[in-house]
Amino acid sequence: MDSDPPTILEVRDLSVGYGGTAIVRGVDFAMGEGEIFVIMGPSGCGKTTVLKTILGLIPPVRGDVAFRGRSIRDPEGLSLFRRSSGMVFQQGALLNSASIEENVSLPLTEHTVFPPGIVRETVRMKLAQVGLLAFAGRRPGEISGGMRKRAGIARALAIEPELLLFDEPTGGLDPITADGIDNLILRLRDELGMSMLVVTHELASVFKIADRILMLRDGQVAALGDRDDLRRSGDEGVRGFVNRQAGSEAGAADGFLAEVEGGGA
Amino acid sequence: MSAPILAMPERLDRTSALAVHESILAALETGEGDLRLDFGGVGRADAIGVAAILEAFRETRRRGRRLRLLNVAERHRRLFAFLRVDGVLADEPGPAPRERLLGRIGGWWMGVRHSAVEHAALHVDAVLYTFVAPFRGRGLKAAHFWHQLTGIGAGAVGIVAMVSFLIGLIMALQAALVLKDFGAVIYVANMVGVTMTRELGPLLTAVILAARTGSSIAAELGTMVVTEEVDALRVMDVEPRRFLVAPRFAALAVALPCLATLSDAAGIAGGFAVATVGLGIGFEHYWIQTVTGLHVSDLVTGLVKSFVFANVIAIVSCHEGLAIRGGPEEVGRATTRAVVTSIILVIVSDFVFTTLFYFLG
Ligand SMILES: Nc1ncnc2c1ncn2[C@@H]1O[C@H](COP(=O)(O)OP(=O)(O)OP(=O)(O)O)[C@@H](O)[C@H]1O
Ligand SMILES: [Mg+2]
Repeated sequence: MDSDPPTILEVRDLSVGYGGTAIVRGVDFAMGEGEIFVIMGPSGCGKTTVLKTILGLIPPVRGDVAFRGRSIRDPEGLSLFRRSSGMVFQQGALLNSASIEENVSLPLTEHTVFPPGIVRETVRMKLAQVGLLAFAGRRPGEISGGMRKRAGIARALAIEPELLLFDEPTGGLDPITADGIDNLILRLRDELGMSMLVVTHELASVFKIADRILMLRDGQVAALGDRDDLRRSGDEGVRGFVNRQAGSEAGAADGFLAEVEGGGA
Repeated sequence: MSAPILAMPERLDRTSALAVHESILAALETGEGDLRLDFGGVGRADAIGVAAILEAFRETRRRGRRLRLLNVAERHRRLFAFLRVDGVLADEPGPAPRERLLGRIGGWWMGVRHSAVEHAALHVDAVLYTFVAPFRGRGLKAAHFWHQLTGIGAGAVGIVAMVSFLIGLIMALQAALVLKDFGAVIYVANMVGVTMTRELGPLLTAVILAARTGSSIAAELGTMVVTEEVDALRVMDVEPRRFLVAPRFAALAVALPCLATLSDAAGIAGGFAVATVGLGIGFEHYWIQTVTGLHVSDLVTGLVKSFVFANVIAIVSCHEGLAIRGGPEEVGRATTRAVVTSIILVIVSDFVFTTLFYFLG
């Protein structure tokens, strides 16, 4: 990129806690338009907490979040931000009392006045994008966990958001489906110019999609940069995390299986 | 007399934990002053054994006494550190019981105040989204309202009618027992008519709906909080108070007065059944007596009450459901709280209203 794209999301000196204990401290970054920005870090380090704070679900102890220059502390700014963005929750978070199709159409029926025909066609396209068209009539309880996550992606896409936030979009999915989601993320950026904030710890995804990476450790920024910056990082922990390639994870899994089989014999 | 030194067994593990626990409790019952545990003879120890010691710490502290560990070997200290209890096992006395009690009362009062403010805010929003916002095109959706109304209203018709009819029967029988001594059996009609419309119709219906609808609202909303559905709605800029609370609030506010009227009718029918079959009063006679005995104000009183009860049940149940923090086990507790609090508040407000109407005439 030659000239820097305009900033779409800015997080300034963010600190968050649940009832007194600080979980996240001093997180600071800015995302450019059309950027795929990845937040990664070990389990429990505060990634979901950061996402939820950005979306105004948890009030920050200190610091601020601004979408297109407007703070989310201002209710109108928050409302604008929420209508211009989509969030994919770690567990899907679909309405269990509604069908998949109704779930995906919800943002459209709530915030637009399109006639039902347009809504239906839009929803069917989104469902087809995530491979769930055949399940449109089912309830969330009647499809698998991975399918729920994909339905959550379709719902987040429904209002053509400018910014998409993902909480582990490929966690718990098989490698082929996960790869499909990664490709979807890349094509959304390339073809629609969407900006994306992705929380994940699947290294394969990170290296495939990330423009920039923020590494979180114990609720603090351990590193921020592109993949080469992180590989060359002076911080041993960061290098260790990043250089642990997909191959070694598979090896660990094999060992675990062997142990289970050995125990059973 | 000071408490004896208790020698800990050679194996302080899951095989001995229960015995150790019991011996410590026994020592606490008999002695006074510091309790001392001798670790000198301990060889093998595990987490369950250490848990028995931790529990002993808690017990002694609760009684305002102290527990000391003697002759703890280095490897047991390392075990404490590994189990991350080394900080706890550094003995320090707890706060005095008196302070704790005052602190608790203060905390309870702050909780009550906080929750009253929250209920009031929820109530205001529910009213606004139900009665004001629809005129600006941003209120509750008609389809959601109808969906709730059929579930809450139509679903309860059978049980309300049956219970009220039986109560009418019972009341007529009891009244007849007293009135026949005065030769005034015909006043059974007045008694049943007025009591049902002013009091029992609204109250019975409210209690039935608190149990039937209040619990289901709290459980449903609570589950939605736990599964992050409510967060997802917020993130889509769909205000849960409009999307979830308002339709339930409106449906209850419509359904309860209607069901209370049904309850009045069913109760009066129950009284009528007893009067004709058991007391030999004719239909016409009973009917005229009921109609002349009833005033429009009785009906209005009943309807106003049932509207208020509907507000109470809807706000309490929605609040309990949405206020859940934590996991699924909280849903069950919130459901119970919703029903109990609703019923108590319904009866308290009934008392307030009845007193008010009594003195206002
Ligand atoms: N509702 C809550 N109340 C109290 N503490 C919480 C709550 N939610 C999360 N935490 C704590 O905050 C910390 C960060 O949690 P968070 O969910 O943000 O982690 P994460 O980085 O998303 O982890 P994972 O990769 O496992 O999803 C954890 O230590 C967790 O125990
Ligand atoms: Mg998480």
